[in-house]
Amino acid sequence: MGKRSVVPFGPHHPVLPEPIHLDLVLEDETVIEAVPSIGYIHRGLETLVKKKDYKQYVYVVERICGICSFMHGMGYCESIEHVMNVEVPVRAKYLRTIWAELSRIHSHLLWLGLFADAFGFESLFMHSWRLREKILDMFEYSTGGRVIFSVNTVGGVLKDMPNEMLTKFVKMLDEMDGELRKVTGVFLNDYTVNSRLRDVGFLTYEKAWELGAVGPMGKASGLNVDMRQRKYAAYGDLDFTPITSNVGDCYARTDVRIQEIFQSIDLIRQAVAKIPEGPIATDVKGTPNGEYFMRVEQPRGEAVFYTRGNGSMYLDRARIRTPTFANIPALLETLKGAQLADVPLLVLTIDPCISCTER
Amino acid sequence: MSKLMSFTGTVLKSLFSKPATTAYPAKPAEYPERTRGHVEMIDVKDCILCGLCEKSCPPGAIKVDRNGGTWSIQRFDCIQCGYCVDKCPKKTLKIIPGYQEPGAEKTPETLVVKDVTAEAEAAGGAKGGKPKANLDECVFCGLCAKNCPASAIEVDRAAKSWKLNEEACVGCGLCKTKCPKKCIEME
Amino acid sequence: MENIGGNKIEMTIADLLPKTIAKKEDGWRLSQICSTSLDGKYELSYSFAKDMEYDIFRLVIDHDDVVPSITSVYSAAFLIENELKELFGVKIERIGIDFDNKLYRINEETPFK
Repeated sequence: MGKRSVVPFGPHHPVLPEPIHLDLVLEDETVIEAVPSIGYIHRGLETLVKKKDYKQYVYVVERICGICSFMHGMGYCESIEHVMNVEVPVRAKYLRTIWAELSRIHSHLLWLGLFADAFGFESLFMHSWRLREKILDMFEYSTGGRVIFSVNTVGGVLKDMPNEMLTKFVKMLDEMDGELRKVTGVFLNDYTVNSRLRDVGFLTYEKAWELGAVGPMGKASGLNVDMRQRKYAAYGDLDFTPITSNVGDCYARTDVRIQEIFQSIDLIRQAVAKIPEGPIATDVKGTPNGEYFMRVEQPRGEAVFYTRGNGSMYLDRARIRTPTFANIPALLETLKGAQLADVPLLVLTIDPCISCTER
Repeated sequence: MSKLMSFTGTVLKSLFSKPATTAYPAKPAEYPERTRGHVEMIDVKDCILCGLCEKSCPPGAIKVDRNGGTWSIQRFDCIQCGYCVDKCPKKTLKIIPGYQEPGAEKTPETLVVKDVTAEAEAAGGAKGGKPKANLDECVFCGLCAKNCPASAIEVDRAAKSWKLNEEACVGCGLCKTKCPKKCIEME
Repeated sequence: MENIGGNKIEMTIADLLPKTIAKKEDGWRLSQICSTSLDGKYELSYSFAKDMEYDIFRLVIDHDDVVPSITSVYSAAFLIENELKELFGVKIERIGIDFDNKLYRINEETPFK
């Protein structure tokens, strides 16, 4: 029976993009259990519904997180639109889908870079982020901002992407394809990377379902939890099958995210081919009265947006349940039995977005 | 199957090619035209001091003083969202490339919009004017109500009624400019 | 029946645990738990998801009512129940891992009440 010690991990750690604290109970070098501690970045954004009216609140919701910013705005706007029974024009739905899929690509490339940094492969980190810069250039060209777009509004979108811009973006994505395959090929095929990723951090199907894992964390264990199948925005017209794997280790999660990048590029091509002409927003007058639960598929998983209005300009309640919040119990499960050197890798494998978790 | 040294080709190529980063700030940055850098007023003469930008600003960076005739913006509070640009009824604000430079002090930038000692008011007056419709001439077309940015006018064609919500009215005067019969006066 | 994104099922405190166990045996996963403060009462919404279906348990309680914890059924609920206890002041008993109001470590007590 080895000696037990408690080692603190975080809140400041080189691999973590945002602060989270874990107390690791170790026996020699193996983790027995982990106790989480969050709250370093809690800003109380859900109380701002009392001070900002429901149209201004879009700008607050967008700024919850820098990586999944567009989908937060989209989920909130769709929730209010369902409450008020507003019909969004079809072109706006397609534009939202294109921006959402571009967001997914950039988020996964960001994660791939941080993940490579976690297991010590810094030049791969730099190459992934170099490819991500091209997507950020596309965002700045079309919406005006690299990280926060401010292009969602209740009733549609604020800016249009004319067809020449869309075909230019598809051409840029086609040019990126070869380099993407080379960089992601290193993740999947290199000998040293494989020896760090394979057979580390298993999560079985039963445990993933019981702990409520969502997104690529659940998909890699075999759960089919892709919310895009609910056919919100323009996903009803697009053709895709959700990607799942049966293995459930770190390699499977990396594989699922890499395949999602290529699936997103394909979805964008389909959407650009099918996008119709038309207006990009409807005028919304009046106030929301009622409640609605909207679920969108963010890069990290299923996000639930609950809004409740009572007929005045200020909402009663806006609740956002972000995917990382649901993945933390699954993380604690994978940490049991892991080696201390693998802990940074496992924490990053859930794609932690702690500013989303704590709002 | 796993390969050894699969990244060597890319590493050697990067060693001998030019860097992917730009030499900012030595070389100035080129921004696309839609970049949201900072908010500016296109023409001070168009501003009517209605205060809609102040009401809509999420962080409260814009302050409009109707009695003093000034429009001021606290540049370090601005989040470059562009909501004020959408809400302005006269379309006199715009958001253009060029980010705010870092500085040592937080002082607001103030523009003098109206000389308060001047007596003449341009069409669409802002100082203490509320619209009053001449009901003999009014055809109850509803254009004033449709264009009201504060939704303060109620027009009923069947009942031939024209009602103004005095509290909601900001005195911007758009109703006066839009009326086809020119039967609204600001008092 | 208005569409709120899922099926709303009215619930009482006594029914909560038995119905939750029934949901787990049927293969539903826990999605989220939400609390809204309305007219001096708390309105709790427990949401469960299975494939594309969504069921919502709606529970209206007073400030002093004690709600049983569902961590005995879904162990992952401990994080979200600790948040409800700390920010809203909902009285939940027997949470699996109870942080005792030190999860977020905020200065003000139950600010969302």
